[in-house]
Amino acid sequence: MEDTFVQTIILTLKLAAITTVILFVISVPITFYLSRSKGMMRSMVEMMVTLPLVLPPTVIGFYLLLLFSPEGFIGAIFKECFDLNIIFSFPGLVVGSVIYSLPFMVQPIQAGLEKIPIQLIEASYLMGKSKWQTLTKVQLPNCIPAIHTALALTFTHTMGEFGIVLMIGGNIPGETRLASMAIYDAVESLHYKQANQYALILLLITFLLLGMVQFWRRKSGNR
Amino acid sequence: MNFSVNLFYHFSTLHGTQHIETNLDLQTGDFISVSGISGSGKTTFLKLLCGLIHPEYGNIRLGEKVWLDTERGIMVSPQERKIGMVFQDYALFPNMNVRDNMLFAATKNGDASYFHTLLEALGLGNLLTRFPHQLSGGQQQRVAIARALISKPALLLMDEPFSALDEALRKNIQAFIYDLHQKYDFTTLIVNHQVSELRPYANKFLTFENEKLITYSPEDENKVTVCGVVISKEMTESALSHLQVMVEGKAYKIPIPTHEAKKFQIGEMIYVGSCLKP
Repeated sequence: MEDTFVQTIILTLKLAAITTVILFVISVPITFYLSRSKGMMRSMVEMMVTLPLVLPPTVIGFYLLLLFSPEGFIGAIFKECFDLNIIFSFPGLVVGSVIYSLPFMVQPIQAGLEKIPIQLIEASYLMGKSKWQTLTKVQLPNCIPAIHTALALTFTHTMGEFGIVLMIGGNIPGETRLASMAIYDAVESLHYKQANQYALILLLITFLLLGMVQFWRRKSGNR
Repeated sequence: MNFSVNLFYHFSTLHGTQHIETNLDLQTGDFISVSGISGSGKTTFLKLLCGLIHPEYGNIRLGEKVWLDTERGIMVSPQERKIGMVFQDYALFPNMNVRDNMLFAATKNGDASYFHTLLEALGLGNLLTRFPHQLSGGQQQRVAIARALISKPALLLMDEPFSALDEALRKNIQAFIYDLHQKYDFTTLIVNHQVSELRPYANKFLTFENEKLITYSPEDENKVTVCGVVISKEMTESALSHLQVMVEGKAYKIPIPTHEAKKFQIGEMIYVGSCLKP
C-alpha cells in the first residue's frame, strides 16, 4: 500500500517534470513566432495552441486514443519504427500531457515576450546580434517572471490531469496510474483517508510552487 | 565620400497617414543636426536609416556601401550596417548592468583603453555594476551614449541624446562626441530640439518641411515672415512704426523707424537675429 502510494506520487511528479521540460523546449520557438508575427498563419497557430484550453479533456483524449492506437496514424508509425506502443504507456501519457498543457506554457511566455519594448530588440539588432542571440540574451532574460509562471503552471496542471491521461493512459498501477486517478479510485471505493493523502500531497506541491512564483515575481518586481 | 539618402516611406499614425520623403546628398564624416516639430518623423527617419523599417522605395548609400536599393532588391540587415544608436528612451537592457550593457555592444576585438576613455568622459566609472533601474534618467542617458559609441560605428545616430542632462554636462558631452566624431571619422546624425546647441559642431542641418526632409542653412532659422506692417500716424521724427511677425504661433511687434517700415512687404522673409527666439 505504501509502495503503491509512493510509486504513484513519483510517477505523477516524473510525468509533470518531463512534460514541463519538453514543453519549455518546444514553446520557446512557438512563442517567439507568435510574439513577432501577424496575419492568418499566426491566428491559426494561436488557435491550435489555445484549443486544449477550451476543449473537454475527454474529447482530446478520445482523438489521441484513435491517433495513437496501433491502428491509428501516429501509433502505427511508432509501432513500425520503434516497436513502441504509445497507448496505455508512460510515453503516451507524456505525449498527451504535452498536447494538453501546451497553452499553460505558451501563453505566459508569449505575454512576457510581447511586453518587452521593441526598442530593446532593435538595439540588440543594431549591435550586430542575430535573432537567436537577441532571443536568448535579451528577450528571454527579460521575461523571467513569465517563464517562472509558465513552468509552475505547466507542472501543476500536468500533475492534476485526469481526463486525457485516463483515456490514453489507462490507469495501470505503477505504469500509467497518476495521483489524480488514484484519488478518483479511492473515493469510488470509499477510501477517503487514502484519497486525502494523495490530495494533500498535490495541494502542498501546488501551493509551494505557486508560492515560489509569487516570491520570484515580487523579487523581480523590485527591479 | 558620398552619403546619399533617397527614400519614400508612407505610414499610418493616430492622426491619419503621413509620409517621409528625402533626397539628401550628404558626405561621410558629416556632423548633421536633424530638427523638426514633434511627430514630423525624425525618429522614423532614423529607423529608416537603420533598416529597422523599410521604405516603399529608395536607396541609401554610405561611402562605397549600398545599404538599400529597392530597385535592385538590396537590403542590408541592421546587424550588418555598423550603426551606433542612442534611442530616445535609452533602450538599456534591464537584465544587464552598465558594464554588460556596454560590452554587449562592443566588437569582439574591443579596445580597453577606449572603453575607459568613454567611462571617464561620461562619468560612468563608479556605475559599472549598477543595473538600469538603479540609475537616474541622466545616468541612463550617458550609458546609452557610451553604448552607441563603443563600437566606433560608421554611422552614429542619436535621438535627443541630451534631453536628461544638465547644461554643463550637455556641453562637455557634445564636445566629447564631436572629438570622437573627428578622430574616428564617424558620420553623425543628431536629433535635437535645440539646434543652437549643435551649431558649433554641425556642418549640415536637416529639417522637415511639408513631410520632406531638407537641408537648410542655420542662418535661415532666424528669418521670419512679415505678417503685418503698422505705420505710425505720428509725424514726429522719433515716432516708431512696427513690423508684425509670428514665431511659433506667437505674435511679435518689431519697432522700426517709419521710413524703414515702408520698405517692407507683407509675406517678405526678414532676418531678425536671435532676439525673437522663444
